[in-house]
Amino acid sequence: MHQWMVCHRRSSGTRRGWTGLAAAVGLLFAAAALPAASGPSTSGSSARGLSASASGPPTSGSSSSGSGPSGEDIHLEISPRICTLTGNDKQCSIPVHAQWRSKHDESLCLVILEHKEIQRCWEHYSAGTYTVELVFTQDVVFQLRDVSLEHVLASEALRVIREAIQYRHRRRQPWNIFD
Amino acid sequence: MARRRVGTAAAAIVCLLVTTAAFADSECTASTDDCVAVGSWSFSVALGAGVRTNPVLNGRDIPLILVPQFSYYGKRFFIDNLDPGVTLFDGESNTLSLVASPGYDRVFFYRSDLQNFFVFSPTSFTGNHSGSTFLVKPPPQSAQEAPAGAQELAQPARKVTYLAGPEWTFKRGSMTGQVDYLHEITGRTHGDELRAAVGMPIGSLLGGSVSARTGLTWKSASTVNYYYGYPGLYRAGWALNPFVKLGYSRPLSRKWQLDAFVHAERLGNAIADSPIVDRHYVTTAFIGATYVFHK
Repeated sequence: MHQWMVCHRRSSGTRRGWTGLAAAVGLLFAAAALPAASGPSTSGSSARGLSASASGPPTSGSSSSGSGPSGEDIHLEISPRICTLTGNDKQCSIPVHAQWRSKHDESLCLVILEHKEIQRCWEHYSAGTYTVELVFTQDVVFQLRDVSLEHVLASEALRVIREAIQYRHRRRQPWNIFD
Repeated sequence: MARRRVGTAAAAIVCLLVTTAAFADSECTASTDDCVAVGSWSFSVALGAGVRTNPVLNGRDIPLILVPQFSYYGKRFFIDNLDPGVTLFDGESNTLSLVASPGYDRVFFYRSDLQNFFVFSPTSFTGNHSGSTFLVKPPPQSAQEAPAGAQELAQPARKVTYLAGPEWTFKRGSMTGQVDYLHEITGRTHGDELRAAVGMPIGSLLGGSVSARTGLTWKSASTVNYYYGYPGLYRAGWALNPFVKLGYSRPLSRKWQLDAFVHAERLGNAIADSPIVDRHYVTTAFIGATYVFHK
């Protein structure tokens, strides 16, 4: 499942004078910091049996550079946050819902560290949701990163808690006819 | 005499445990064939065809159709079918428990015996039906013929009995062993019983494993008399019953497995000589598919 989805930039402006020059310089620096921004070269690959759904920007196209999101105002939530393994449970197999929001429009991607084949990107949106069916045995870290995937803007972990299990010997009973 | 034997056996078990405890290796760390999670339970039912011969004169052989098995393991307490117990020491190679177990021989006289609930057969349906398929009480046998006089003799009641005592189980390589010394605690026979057996896998066949077991049961005179004696006609002494068992088990799927076995027990002379017994052997054979509901 191809998860890379990019929006066109919603607006551009031309400023004049020193303000415009400063903006141009800023854009150049931003472009230099985003070498892969010319296209979805880091696009996600097949989810390999993982199903996912998302809401947010459904459009696609070439990405473009912009001012980098700060991450300070970006809030990421995942649900559930804990998976408890009990008894003979070997792994968690649950749908996980991720939701982010920001005060400003942002261009960013949601990645799952332990499942790098899953990647969901938004450009110039202030909120997004994503639901994915995951199978995991260890903690899973969800991260929002800028579109270059280099800077982490927000991070949340889905913890795996194993119920403290004690073991003992099964009764050995060769005398029993039916044992 | 019996008390001295109990004391001797208990002392021997304690000595063995003290000796071997120092060599105890690692503890159980995962669910395996030998280890279970504390607080876990299991339930399985074997569905198949089999029979257990009845050595009692005119006693009907016991067909085996359903063989349910249940167990629960707490940290110390456990229940294994009809045997509750408390584990005192659980080492890698040795386990010492106090267990209670029903008297075995009653199964030949009463189809409604508790142990026959775990060897469920169609004939158990005869008689009162209480709504649960396992709570059926067929009418008890009312009379048996004594071979000598060929006259009908009223059978004395044989109540449900429970025995309790120490149980030592051990593992040496692929061999497992069990020794129980039990005393009757329900006030019926006041007898003692020693149960001992060893078992081990002996090979593979058609994708399954073949195992062999051998062991014995020693029953005190009072125990044998309660089941096989007859007032004024026959007074039994102690009996030693050796047995051998050959089993085969093959996994069929995650929940199903094929099980088959033949178990032959030779009755001690004190039992075989009883006027109400006409066979020297008890043979139990079964083949069926076992479904594991929970493990």
